[in-house]
Amino acid sequence: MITVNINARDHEEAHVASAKLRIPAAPVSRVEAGLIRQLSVTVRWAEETERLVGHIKAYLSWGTEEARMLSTTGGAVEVKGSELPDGLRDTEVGVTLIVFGGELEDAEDRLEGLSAALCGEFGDWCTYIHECEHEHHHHHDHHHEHDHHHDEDDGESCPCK
Amino acid sequence: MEAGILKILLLSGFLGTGKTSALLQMAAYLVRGARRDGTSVMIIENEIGEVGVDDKVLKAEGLQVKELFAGCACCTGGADLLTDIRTIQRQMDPDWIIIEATGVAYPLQIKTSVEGCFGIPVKILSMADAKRWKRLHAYMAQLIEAQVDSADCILVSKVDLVSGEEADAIVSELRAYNSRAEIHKVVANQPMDDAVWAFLDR
Repeated sequence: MITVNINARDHEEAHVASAKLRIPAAPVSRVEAGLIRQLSVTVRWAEETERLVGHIKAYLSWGTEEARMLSTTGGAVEVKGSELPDGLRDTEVGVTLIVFGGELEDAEDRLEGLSAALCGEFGDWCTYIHECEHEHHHHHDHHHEHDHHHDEDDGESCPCK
Repeated sequence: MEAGILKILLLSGFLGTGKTSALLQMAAYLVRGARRDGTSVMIIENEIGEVGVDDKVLKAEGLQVKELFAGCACCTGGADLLTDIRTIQRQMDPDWIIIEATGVAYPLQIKTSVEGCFGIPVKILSMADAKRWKRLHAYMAQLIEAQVDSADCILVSKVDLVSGEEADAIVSELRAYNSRAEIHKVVANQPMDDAVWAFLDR
């Protein structure tokens, strides 16, 4: 089971959505390759929906001070940081998506899609924990959980959507 | 370096301009660069996302980092920033505190707040992304101009991704918003000349 924490906030005109996943016993290089693919998908989503990418950035960490950072402002995904480790590691993945235009929920959905695709690459189930801020619903920081498989729609939807 | 006198630098610029990459080079210059005088640097990293990314890169490079996720330091996170500076000053007494602002921060508001609270002059280094300058300026002129008009030094990053004429035109435009700042053209992922950091010593 992979747990995905998703948080979404507006900051003035910027829609800011963040996700954190913990993928157990995985080859970090494979997680990174999957993440790069998904960040590229996210760039294309922004371009096709005429949003402005503020910044899309992510990290992979597998030890106390070891990490790799991935980032893009719309072109290729840049990667820097520690050397990739050999073998299987419990890997933490953090992603922050900052876009201008559209709605906050759309950014949150894209990040959930990115997370689901990553979970799918590792053949695992995802548990999503959302912390959302949707002003038009007049409630803040509500919290809920739902489980679904990466390639199935169980019909359960986020109550804040 | 005058012993015991804290210096504060605010690193500003829009999202994705290369602030963290520049910060790595600047910290290296201060800590283990040409001076090698044992200068200590503490970094306050302000990110608007709930998931910190930049702090991990900085820590991986051996730098001391305090994360500030309470909100943007120019608005909702302002009080937390002042508290963090006070705590760092008392507990660690570094020579420099470098504040990396969020990419949507208005630097003059942070500078005014910090100077008013601590009475320490704050230098501002701003980054401008040459590749996205026109598009960002067209989309959010007020923010983009505010991020450079109060700077002591402006680094025009990613100049390798535009023509020389385009880079020069951006420098001219920046001059119109800020005539007193030093302006340097840089490629963030390549080593920068020490002359870029000379303003830190003035």
